[in-house]
Amino acid sequence: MKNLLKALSILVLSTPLQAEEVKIFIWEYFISDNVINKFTEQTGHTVKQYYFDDEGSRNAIIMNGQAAIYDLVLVDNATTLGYGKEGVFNSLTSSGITNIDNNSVQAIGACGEYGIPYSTGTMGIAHRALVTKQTIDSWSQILTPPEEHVGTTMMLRDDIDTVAIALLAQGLNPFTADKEKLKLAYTALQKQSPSLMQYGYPLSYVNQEETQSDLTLAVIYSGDVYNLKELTGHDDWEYVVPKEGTLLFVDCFTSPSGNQLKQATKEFLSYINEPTVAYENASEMWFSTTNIGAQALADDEYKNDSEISPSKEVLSRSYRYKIMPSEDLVIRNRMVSILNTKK
Amino acid sequence: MLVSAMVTSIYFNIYKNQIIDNKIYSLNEYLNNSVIKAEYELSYAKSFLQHKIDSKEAALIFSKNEIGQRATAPYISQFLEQFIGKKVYSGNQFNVINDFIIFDKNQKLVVHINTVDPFADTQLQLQTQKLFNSINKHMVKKVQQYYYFIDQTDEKLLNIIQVFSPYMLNSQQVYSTTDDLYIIQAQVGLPLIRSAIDTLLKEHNGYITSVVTRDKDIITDEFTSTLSPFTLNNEHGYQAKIDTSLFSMVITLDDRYFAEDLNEVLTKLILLGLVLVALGYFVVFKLIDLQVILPITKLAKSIKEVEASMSVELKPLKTNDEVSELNESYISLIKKIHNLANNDSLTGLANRRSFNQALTVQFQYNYKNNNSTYTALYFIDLDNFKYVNDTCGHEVGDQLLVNFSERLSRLLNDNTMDILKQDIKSVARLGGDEFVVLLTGLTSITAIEQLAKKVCALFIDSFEIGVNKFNIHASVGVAYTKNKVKNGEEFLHQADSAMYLAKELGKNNYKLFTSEIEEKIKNEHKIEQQLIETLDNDKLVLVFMPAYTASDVSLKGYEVLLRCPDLTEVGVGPDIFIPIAEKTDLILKIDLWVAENAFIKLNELINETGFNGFFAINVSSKSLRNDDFYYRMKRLITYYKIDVKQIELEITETCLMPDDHQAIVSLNQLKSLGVRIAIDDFGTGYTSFNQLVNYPLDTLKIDRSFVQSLDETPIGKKPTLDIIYELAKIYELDVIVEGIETEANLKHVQKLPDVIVQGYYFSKPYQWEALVEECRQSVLV
Repeated sequence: MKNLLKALSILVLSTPLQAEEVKIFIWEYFISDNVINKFTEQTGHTVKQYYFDDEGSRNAIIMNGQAAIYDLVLVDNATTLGYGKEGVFNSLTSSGITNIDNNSVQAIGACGEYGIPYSTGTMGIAHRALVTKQTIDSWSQILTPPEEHVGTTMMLRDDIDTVAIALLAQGLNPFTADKEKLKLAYTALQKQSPSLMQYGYPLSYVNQEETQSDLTLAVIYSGDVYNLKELTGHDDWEYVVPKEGTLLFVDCFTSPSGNQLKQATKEFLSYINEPTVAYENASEMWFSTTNIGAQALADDEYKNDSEISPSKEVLSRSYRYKIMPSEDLVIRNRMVSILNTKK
Repeated sequence: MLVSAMVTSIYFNIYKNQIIDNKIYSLNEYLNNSVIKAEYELSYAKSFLQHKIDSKEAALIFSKNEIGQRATAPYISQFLEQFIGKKVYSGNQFNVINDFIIFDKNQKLVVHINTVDPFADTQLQLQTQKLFNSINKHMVKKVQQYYYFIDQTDEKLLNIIQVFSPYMLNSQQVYSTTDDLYIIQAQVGLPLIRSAIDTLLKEHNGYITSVVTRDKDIITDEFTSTLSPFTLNNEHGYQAKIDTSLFSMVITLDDRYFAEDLNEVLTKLILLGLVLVALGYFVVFKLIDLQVILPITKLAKSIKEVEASMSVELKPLKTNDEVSELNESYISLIKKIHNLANNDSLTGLANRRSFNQALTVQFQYNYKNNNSTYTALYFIDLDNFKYVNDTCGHEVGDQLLVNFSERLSRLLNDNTMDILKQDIKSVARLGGDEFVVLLTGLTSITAIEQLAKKVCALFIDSFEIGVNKFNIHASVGVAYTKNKVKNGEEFLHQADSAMYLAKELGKNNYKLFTSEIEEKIKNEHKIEQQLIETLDNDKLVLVFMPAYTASDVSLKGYEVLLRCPDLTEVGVGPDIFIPIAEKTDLILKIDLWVAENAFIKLNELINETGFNGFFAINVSSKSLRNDDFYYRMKRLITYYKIDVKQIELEITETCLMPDDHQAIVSLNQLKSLGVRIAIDDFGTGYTSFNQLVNYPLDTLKIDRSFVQSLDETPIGKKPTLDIIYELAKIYELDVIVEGIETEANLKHVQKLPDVIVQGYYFSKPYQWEALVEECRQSVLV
């Protein structure tokens, strides 16, 4: 069957098609329509976006081979490295894509052989300042929400991040392999469950509820507070990186191995990594770019925004994602999966 | 007093035995149901297990193991998702598995899943260890064996051990070796019969006791259970026994169990006795009162007159004494009885009985007189009322019927309608969602149609009940006549038939009964009779539509189709006779006939050619919703020793209503047989892809119309067929495309990976002999 598939795809590829479509599987609100339109004007190729709102579902699609219908999938760097080893992504080194070197060395290293850096950021807490009664500055306020946020709080559902929050709150290393410490984290997460409105990513929730949203406190990735304000119509949303420190992530573009890397995809990756394009995209979508050339073009508002450019002090308290041993990932996955079924 | 006591004692003795018998009967029914339920739950758990190890996620783990590698985090995470992911919960399934460990034959761990405790250790139970020691590791090719034992730590938990060759799995293509062996130890939360008994004990606290005995180390390769129902035992009173291959259970009833109920009856009987005696005295006293005898005789006379004349016009008496009071109470009682007997208690309209009377009276009148005007009967049936009842409950449904009857009454009483009050002979609810209006004095057929249109127009505005709005429609059938006809019943029948035709026309239509309709009904009746006769004589015939892999046109299996030769001769195909059969329970018999004969043919084909493809069998909506169908299928599968993996049941999409919970339950029940479920003619009904996830489906058959419309797809646009295909693949469904008629059709479909195709481009349905020939050849290849 596999051979047949290959034969078929070669047949399709060898037909002289000039304008191609690049299919991208990505978070909503994460790539600028203007930037895409300019790409189409320049090259004739079109770009079509498909959205996921949950990393778990995205990872399932990658593992069971269904991601082969997409040309590019945006994946966090921990998954890029971990899943890359299982052979689910095409190698992107020496594939003839230009401009990659515009990215920071750390970002290129974080994405590895199978990913091309796109964005970076922190994990933090978003809260409604008009609702909040005392200062929000700690992960333990997510685990035990203050009275005014009980029942209107959302918690991430992610193997690494969810457990990391519970560990960070207790001053522990978010990547620990120590079972006793993980049990402490699990107990804290179990206690948290009844005070939550639901598990999941806040943008998916407010995208459905819009101004009817009841949400007042949530874990969120930097750059998304703008969308939270837009969708809920509440201007009092604030972003905080807790005092215990946080995780620093890099999102990478990957190419699923069931699909061949086509010319239009390469052209798109080269295009999006041009400094001017990368800056236009990042400033319009309001996220922190990994592109050094783009950073050089940034205006003061972009440079001084605490969400986009975290302070040195915040960075010093934080951990970069790293690749973990399989057993450690399995136990985190079990913790989060089982926790999730109980609510 | 003495008489009262004697009567009470006699009645009590009669009732006592009856009460005890009834109680014992219902207890025995309960036990019997628990035993059947346990079997069902176990087979569900096994099919749940099988579904997991048949999954793509399991195949990836097995294939890693085969090359000597342990599965890593991503693989294990995706496999765990199969047990507790969103899909499992929303799909109306329930997870029964607490702990699930796969070992290879050398007792090496392949994967461990626990759905309760993230920190659970991998624990090999004692019985599993023993089994390992006894297993012949050089076992050959085809092993699929289950063992059961009760958990060492918690006796409410059952362990199922499954020993199997991965070569037997659906996903077998990934295995290169055929002599491998895996052992699964699955701990499941199935207390079997015992939780049902616990509930019984709790409900009758103290009056029922049970004793369980079991051998702690027992392990069995078959779970069987026999019930010895409650019988009277001299030593212990009533006792029942359940013997299973894992434990035995004796259930004993305390004498006090009956005491409460019996005391209650005794008290009631004594009270009744006393009341009767008191009443007796009163009556005697009154009778003796001579002053009343005479007036009562008078009254009795007038009452007799009333009864004889069937009217309620009993006149109030002018006197002001006890007798006139009695007379007035009698009048009001008669009125109440008349109301109860003639009106529908929900809507206040006439009921069926009163309508029948009105119809008879009207036709007697018509027969005796010359009629210059028409008599018309409107038969109104609400189209989607059952859906409202099923989804929103009976209270909302009842309110809807009341609202409609108010609208109907308002219409008939509307001055602009020009209907004289005396011409409205009856407005009735016949039951359920069926209403009728009987009218006379209609001057023309146009006038008859005019009213039918107005009735349909009553449904243009939606019905508001509480916060909900319902768009309900009706089908109206009208019978009318000017002639001297004797039979009112036939008239009702005509209106009913016209209503059915109106229903076929679609939403909110009316239809007048005509001679063509009469002809059509006769014709359908003929077809039905022919069908019954052919079925009784076992002369129905099966033909087989082959299905191929699109890419290399290799044979995958056959869809089993039905023909009735006697009807084919007169040009009547299944497209005509199946809908007729579906109007009655005849379709059930036909579906079972098809299934049984398909099984026979399948076995014959396997014997002759080694055929290993599938047979797809169509199941009608009526059979799907019939519990009996499931049990009979189960029996047929066991009797003919059918390998369920070779059977696919096809359900037409239009059978499935949105949010149809009953259908989901029925489909899950069929699925528990182990067969594959396909949804047929996809795209012709109302099912959205979001709802698909609720059905336990394996295969989507895309309707032929999407192939026919391929040519109409605008250039540069993606054909609908391709979109449905991509979505189906996201839901991990197999896809069959029907109606391939040209080479161009095939070429298009070949671009989509992993598709199965059917259609006249390959062949018309095969007769049996041709099918055997094709199978022989394809097996040779």
